[in-house]
Amino acid sequence: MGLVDYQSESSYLHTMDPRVKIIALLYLSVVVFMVKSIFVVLVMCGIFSVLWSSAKLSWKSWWDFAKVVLSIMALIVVLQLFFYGENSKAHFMFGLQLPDNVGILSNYGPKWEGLEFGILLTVRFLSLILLMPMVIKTTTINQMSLGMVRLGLPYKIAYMTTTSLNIIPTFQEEIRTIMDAQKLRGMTVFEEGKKWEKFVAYPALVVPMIIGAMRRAQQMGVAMDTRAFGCSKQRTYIETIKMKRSDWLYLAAAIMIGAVLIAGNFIIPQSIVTMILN
Amino acid sequence: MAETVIRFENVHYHYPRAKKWALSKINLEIEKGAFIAVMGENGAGKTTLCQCINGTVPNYHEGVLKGKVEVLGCDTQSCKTTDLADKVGMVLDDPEAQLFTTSVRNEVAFGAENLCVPVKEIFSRIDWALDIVGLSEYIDQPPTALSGGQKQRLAIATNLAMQPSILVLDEPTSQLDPVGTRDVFKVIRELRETANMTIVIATHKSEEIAEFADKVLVLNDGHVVAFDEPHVIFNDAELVKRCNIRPPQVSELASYLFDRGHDIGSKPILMEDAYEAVTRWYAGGVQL
Amino acid sequence: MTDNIVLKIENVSYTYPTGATALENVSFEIREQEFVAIIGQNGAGKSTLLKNITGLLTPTEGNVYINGQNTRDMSVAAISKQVGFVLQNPDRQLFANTVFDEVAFSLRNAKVAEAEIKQRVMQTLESVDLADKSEEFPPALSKGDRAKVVVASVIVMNTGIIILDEPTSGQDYKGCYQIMNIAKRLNAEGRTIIFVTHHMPLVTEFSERTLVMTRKHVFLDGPSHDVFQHEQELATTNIRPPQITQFGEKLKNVIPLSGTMLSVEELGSELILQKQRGSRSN
Repeated sequence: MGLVDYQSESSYLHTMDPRVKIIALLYLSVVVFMVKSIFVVLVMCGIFSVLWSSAKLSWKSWWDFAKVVLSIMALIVVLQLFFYGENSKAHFMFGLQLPDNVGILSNYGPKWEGLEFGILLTVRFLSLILLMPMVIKTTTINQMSLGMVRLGLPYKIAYMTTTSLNIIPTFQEEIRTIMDAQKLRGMTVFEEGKKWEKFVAYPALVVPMIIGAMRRAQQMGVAMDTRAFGCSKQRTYIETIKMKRSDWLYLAAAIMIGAVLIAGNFIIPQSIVTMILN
Repeated sequence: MAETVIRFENVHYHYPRAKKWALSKINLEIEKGAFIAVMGENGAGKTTLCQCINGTVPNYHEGVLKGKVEVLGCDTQSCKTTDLADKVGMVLDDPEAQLFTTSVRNEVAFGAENLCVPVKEIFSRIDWALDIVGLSEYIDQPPTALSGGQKQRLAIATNLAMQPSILVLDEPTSQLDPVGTRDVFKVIRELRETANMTIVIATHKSEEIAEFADKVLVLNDGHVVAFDEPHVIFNDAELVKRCNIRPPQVSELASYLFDRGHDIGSKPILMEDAYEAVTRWYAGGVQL
Repeated sequence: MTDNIVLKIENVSYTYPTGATALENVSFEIREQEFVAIIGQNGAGKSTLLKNITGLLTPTEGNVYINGQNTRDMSVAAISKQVGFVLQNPDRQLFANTVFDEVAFSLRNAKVAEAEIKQRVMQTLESVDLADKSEEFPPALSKGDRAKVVVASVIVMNTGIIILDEPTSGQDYKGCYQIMNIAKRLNAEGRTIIFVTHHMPLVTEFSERTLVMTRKHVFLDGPSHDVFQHEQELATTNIRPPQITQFGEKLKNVIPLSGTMLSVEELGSELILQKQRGSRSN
């Protein structure tokens, strides 16, 4: 079960009109980036986690991906730790500051605010990877593209977006097959090798996949053309979507949540560290 | 005399940035309701020829097309592929690459939706198409759950929903097992019988060609080398050798006997005809 | 063919993690230098069996022995030094810039010395008629040549056993026979060949022994001549013998042919023989 695979359950999110989900997704994604307070970011992440759970979505699929994000974010946190706020009144950790006579370098050293900011960025990312899959995992491809079209997006673009999502499980399957093929030729680096060896060996996996993907894409293009894809701006849809009363309520709720989070930005202190150390 | 539905006039084509002509001097006329098999080595131009019929060449691939390809009165260079979509259907050799929706129903509906067919009409076409290919019970399944043969039959159904009068199949059974192959040919035969559909199929399956095809088109290195009835083609030893075609095994048997001085009196391509000829020969009907 | 058993499948069963059983109590032995065909409809368990042999999967029950060693104690890489596997779709593994590098890949993985690699790769390329294309970009070659590159990359490993999975998929008549003839030559040189296919004429023309799989177990196993005699039973597994074999069986109503006819040459020569006997007795 991948992070962007449709997971069939019955929950409020699954039955929600795709248009509401799309609008809420765009809106809340913007909110995620507007939030500057560490308290608000943590609350936001908490809210999204509750929404995720109540939609009965797979935490394992989330964690498999979050692990990777976290390892990348670790680097970001380290960078923020040292380079945050060169000229501000940031507090050095355990007084670890370089002496004054090394010039500008004295501004660099591990700072609490830097750590806090790094954590803020991390939690923001985690929120995003809760928010987007929440929509993708609870909306079928057809509903998604229908939702986009009913919101005014040209069909071709809607279709391109949803098809890319549809293709991802195929890629995962391909990579597995290719890895098997290379294992059969004695390639052990993915089981036993060091990280850099694995990195250098990636072409053996990626090249056949890309070539295969290109071949398949071309075939798909021919098939779509044959079936009159994009022949006119109009199109019939055998599926329908209709806004129910509950959908309007959900939309209102999403807008309110976003508004509250943004308001929190201005009211609640932005930094725990500043609060404690000042 | 049936009308000509597909006409190639002095057609030459090469793919963009290619140095070699993929097709040269193709002159061809195919009548309504005909079953034409296209044979030749890999690289002889079968796929290119098939894609000329539905306009994929040159509209999708670009490249250079000289001469004229006329399908049901449309010049493929002045119509777009989508104009031809409800006239010519196409089934490719890779079952996976041509199925991309999440249910059989949606897959079959896709083409008709694009053509702005009214919803009610689409539903009735879906039922009809799935019935012909024998997949009605799978209507709610995702295409990925089907076997290779079923996928190819689904691919045929997706074209049928657009109600074309010509169906082009490019090696539809090359990746299928014998059961899948047989099922696909069964469907094709039914389409021909019930809908008088014109069929153009690129394939290596000689035994099936011997049984179903009206005429065989042999391509070699982009040229039309022969266009004649199956028994003429399969019994032309020189042609068969030059173009690397495998005739049905009973034909090969007749040649084997002939080469050793035993003329069985006819050149059969079907098992029934071969049976008659061989038993007659054995009983002494045709002497050395 | 010696009596040396190179591959032993002993009561092997396999169930996928999803719960689907693909193999049930499969047993057979293959001796050195045999040329065996494995046939069966889709879903019979053929690819699962091959994956259990190459080590990509480990049997849920039972054991696979390669040259006496249990595969449970061997890694996929170790198995690959004894069993070469030519995949169905060559494009799934082609990644190198040149044909040479592609063929050298497995040798480089095995840390063979570069000088030896050069000699073995060029020798192999010559044996499959690709020596003049050693610097070409593999995806740019024709389908037949791409398949030959993959075959070459397996041959160069010098394994005693070679398995070919559907070598005919997507190939034309000439391409199929090129690959099968390479396999035939390798067999004559002492290698054990196992191939899986749907294309019956190849089975009857090239393999001395045929293994029929159906519904997760081995249904028939024996010399090809014997196996194809069971036309009725084979029909229950959706396998039809090649046209020439069916034709031979039909002719037996009228002509006293002996044995199962597996190829045009066999039936042809048998017919001529019977005809001559017939006219002599007149």
